[in-house]
Amino acid sequence: MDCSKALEGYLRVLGDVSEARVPGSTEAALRLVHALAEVLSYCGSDVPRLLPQLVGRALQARPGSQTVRSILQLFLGKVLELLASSEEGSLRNEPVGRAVAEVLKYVEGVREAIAEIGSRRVEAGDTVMTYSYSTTVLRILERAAKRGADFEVYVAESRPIAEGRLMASALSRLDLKTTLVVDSAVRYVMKKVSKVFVGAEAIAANGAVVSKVGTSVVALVAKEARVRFYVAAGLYKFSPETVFGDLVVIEELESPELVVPQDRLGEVALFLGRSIRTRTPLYDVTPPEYVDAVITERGLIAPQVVFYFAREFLSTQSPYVSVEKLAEEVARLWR
Amino acid sequence: MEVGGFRIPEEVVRIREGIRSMRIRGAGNIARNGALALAIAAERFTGEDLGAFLRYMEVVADYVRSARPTAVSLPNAVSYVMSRLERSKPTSVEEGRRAVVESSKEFIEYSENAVRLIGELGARRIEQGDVLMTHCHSTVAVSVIATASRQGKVERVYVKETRPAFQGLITARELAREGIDVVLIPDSAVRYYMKKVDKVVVGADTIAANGAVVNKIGTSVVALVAKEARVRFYVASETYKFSPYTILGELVPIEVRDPKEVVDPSWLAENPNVRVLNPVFDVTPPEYVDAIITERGVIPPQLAALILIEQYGVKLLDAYPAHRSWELRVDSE
Repeated sequence: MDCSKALEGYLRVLGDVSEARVPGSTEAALRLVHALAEVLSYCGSDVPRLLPQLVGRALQARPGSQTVRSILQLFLGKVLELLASSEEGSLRNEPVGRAVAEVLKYVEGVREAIAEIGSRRVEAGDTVMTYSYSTTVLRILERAAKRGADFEVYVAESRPIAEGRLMASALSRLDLKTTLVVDSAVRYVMKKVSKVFVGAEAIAANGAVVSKVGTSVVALVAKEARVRFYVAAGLYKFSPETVFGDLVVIEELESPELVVPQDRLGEVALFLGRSIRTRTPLYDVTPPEYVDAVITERGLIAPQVVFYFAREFLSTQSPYVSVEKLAEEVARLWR
Repeated sequence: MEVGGFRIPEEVVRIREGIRSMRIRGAGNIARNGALALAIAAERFTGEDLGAFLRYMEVVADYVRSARPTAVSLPNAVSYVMSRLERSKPTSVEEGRRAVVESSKEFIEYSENAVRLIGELGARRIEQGDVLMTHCHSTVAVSVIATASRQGKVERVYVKETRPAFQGLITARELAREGIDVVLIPDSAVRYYMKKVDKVVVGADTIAANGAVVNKIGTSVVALVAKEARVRFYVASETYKFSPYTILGELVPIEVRDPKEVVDPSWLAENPNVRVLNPVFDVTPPEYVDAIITERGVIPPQLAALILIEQYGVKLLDAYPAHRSWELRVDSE
């Protein structure tokens, strides 16, 4: 491993994250942290020049993802803390490695708590629906099954990208009775469903939940059928900027390959890019009134009070500064 | 192919297979092909035995009808032709053959006319600068949108991909040929884009007596999402898609198809413990439908029963005895 290899690896992860090839928002954020740690470890004196730019690109790779922003913030905060206390000239690999370990430990603690709390909401005889891929939801259901609750799970494909298929594979490996349906079939099966559990990419000040596109459709369909709709999300997914009125940015991709399968391209090729365009948002926004509760590491709470509980997470980031500022600060102290 | 002691002509087998495999799509198209199959069968019949001809036509009718158990237009088309054969009281094979071929042609013309009429009536509902959304592929829905577009009223159409079979691609192409600005979106983005939409126009596979619309899976999701956003939801449908069975209380069966339409066989092999459920249709409740655009006029969905009674001879019985509410019976003609 050397600096150019580390950079190459980082760019690859950036690509995967921006096209949502990494399933699960926290997974994506952790993948970025690992790749960034490699760059910090191998690029030595180039770090001050590279870091702010690399962090900026990570934020652009998944715009609107508070998960990526918060996890990077957590990581750089730790690096900064450890750098400040380490002696000048001492090996930098050590603080970087420790910072990664601390971030992992933190995320693991959050997931553990959410799994414990969320699994209590799964009862024997339940039919659970989930959407897209979420490691946290997977953990909740795994824990519930271990408790001996007998339930089955429906998963929608979650196009584009169809991470729902990965979720279905993972659920069936847990020996859960799993059924995969197309996204259009969510209303058809909702009558059989008793609870919905989904993950989140970000939660806004008013409690609106940003998740994989289609999540808000499932929430609306659940509401119509009077089915409980739960969002599993660590408090680090709260988006502080929204308190100041900022809107969560949702990027729309114009990538025909995300909508039209390779072997069907011929049918529209003549018009593509001219009278036929494709548009694909990766996320959508579920209004708080469709969410029965957010399952956080601090407990099961109403979406509208996530802001209140998230203050605690934000206060650990003291003094609260943006990721961009943190990156500059690490770069400045990196000698 | 031998059925019930009769040889079924190759072209008829091919049409039935096309309907069964969904190569022939769209209820109108299925109905026209069904009528055409009967005409071909009548023309290919050899011999002068009238009794044999009539039995043969019954066998062919059943054979064609069985291609898609849920498509009401198919049995309606077959009944249209067969009832006219019966009423013509043929005295020779030649007369019988003429009755089938002529009524088949008549039905196909009526059906094609219906598509044009629905286009014209539906286009009146579209206003200058409207942004539309549609789901799946429907000849009549395309007719409404294309007619409105030729009147210069359509700004843009959001076309949903329509998994698992991607019929949205067919719609996108047909609208693009009309020079319409098409935006192809994944099904999951339906709520994301609904805010930008003024009206939804979809087709129907079957319409039940209470006005519930059976159509391609996901239609009811679009309807619900439209309702939430206060976007008008129109269903374009010929009256031969109205199901006479439902007025007798029968439920419309929803076909569940092969999982291989959703995922590759290799995926299924790798995930033997995942069940893949592939329902083809869903039911949109009448309260989500603003109007049904038929060749007989733009009607509220709740009027479906009346269409069945007036157009297809379905009759309500007098209440008897007094404490029993009412019974229904389909006029057998």
